[in-house]
Amino acid sequence: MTVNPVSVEHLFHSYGPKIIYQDLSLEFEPGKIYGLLGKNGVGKTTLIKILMGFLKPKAGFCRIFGDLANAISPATRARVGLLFERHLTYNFFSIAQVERFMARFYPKWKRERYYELVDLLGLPSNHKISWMSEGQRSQVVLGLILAQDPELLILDDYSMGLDAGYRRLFVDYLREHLKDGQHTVILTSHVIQDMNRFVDDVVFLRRGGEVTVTGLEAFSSNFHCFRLPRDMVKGEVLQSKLAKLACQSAGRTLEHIINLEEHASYFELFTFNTKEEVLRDLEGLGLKASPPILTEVAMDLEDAFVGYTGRH
Amino acid sequence: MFNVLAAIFSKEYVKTRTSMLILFALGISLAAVIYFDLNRLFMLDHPEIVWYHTLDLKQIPYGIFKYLPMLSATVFCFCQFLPEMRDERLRISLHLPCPLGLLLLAHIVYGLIFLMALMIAESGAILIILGRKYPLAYLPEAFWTMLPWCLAGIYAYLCCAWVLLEPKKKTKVLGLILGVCICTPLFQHYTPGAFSTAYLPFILGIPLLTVSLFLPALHFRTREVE
Repeated sequence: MTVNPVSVEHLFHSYGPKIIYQDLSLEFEPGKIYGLLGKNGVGKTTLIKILMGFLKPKAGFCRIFGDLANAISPATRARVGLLFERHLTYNFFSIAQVERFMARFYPKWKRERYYELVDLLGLPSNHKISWMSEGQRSQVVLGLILAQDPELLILDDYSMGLDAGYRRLFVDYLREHLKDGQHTVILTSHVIQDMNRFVDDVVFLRRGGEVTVTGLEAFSSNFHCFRLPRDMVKGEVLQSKLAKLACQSAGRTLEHIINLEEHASYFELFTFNTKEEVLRDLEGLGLKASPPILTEVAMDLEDAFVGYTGRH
Repeated sequence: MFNVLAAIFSKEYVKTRTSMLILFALGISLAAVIYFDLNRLFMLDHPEIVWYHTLDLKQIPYGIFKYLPMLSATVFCFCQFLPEMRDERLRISLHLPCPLGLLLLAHIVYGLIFLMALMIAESGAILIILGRKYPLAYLPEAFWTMLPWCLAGIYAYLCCAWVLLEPKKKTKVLGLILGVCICTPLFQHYTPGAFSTAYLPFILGIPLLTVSLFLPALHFRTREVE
């Protein structure tokens, strides 16, 4: 029987009275690249910490190649590459020292991968990591992870502190080395646009532990934004009704609308459904209009992400 | 296993070599101070008077050494574990594919080996200095007098490691209390050599406390609260 690299089973976690997940279950299949998306505070970092085994959930389990995440065997740890937030590594080592140190622990160590990436920095091998910029350090850390040749990579906010060039380099290198489809990657990033070039599936986390897993292409083609000009919404009562919905999670009240955002001169309605179905929701609220008042707006991944998760 | 120990030892060496050098220099400087002090004593008074003060009145001419092992151990522990705890870098080590117990033990054993070597060098230097001025029969008494101070240094290191590694505040305080409770009797002003028959429990406590450091490391690894 094939074991998925990562499985999350009935996870419950809370900080005090604030519930982060309630019965969260997920499966991460082998060979896929997953982008973990969600607004600040929905529990992305918490989930990554639980997956990495550095936080014990209050209930439920996470399994990494079948091992419980907080009790992973050394053999399983050798199959997992972790990138910690802010590209943490041993700052007191030099470029060569950190490679020699890590190589002792990994049987499949590929030294050439590390130096292929680190040589791009043009620094001597005795250059201390603590003297490096965030971008340079990210290269060292990525080199170390790729040299491990792990089957599963968990990358926590790999883009933090990187400029556009280093971000591009990071993603391009990862893509190049992972194109054989033998590796599973779970990553988070605040730069949504980078995921467009990289991930297969996106995992949306929303407040309260709601989760949606979808293919990136399917999400990009099925998720729509319609604009409703404010002056087409007659009557203050209806306007305030829409404004009130914009402050809540619209999807809870309306059947087809996932999110509703209020702007100065228009409302934006986000949906996985058709314009007609959205109009039916609006008619249910008392808005009488013919279809042309809704204009579809083109979105990039970041617009779609904000549209799906909401601005507030 | 040997590979893991060698790797961890090399990492710890790179990280702590400057602090090791400074602490060693400090120890040698202090031995030099004791040497010059002792010379001055023997110049100002007749040797039999100095001997009388030391052997009969039980004055300790190397008393300046008393708190050095504890101070050195605490400084060294901070130099060893603070870089690991800053930004929780210890997570990198804890993810290495080797058993947690072995990994932790390698770190602690490295610290203990250095501290013991440092203390043996410092107290050895003091004993050599004393041997030049006092009868050889006095040296065992001096040795038994310095031993509790060195033991306090070892315990200070272990308890300090506990406090630094432990993520839970209450258990951190427990480590601190433990350190104070163990070290305080070792610094009491007893007759020199008074502890000579009671060292066994103190020495046995070292491996026990070393093994118990597994607890804060485990708390750090799988903590339930942030």
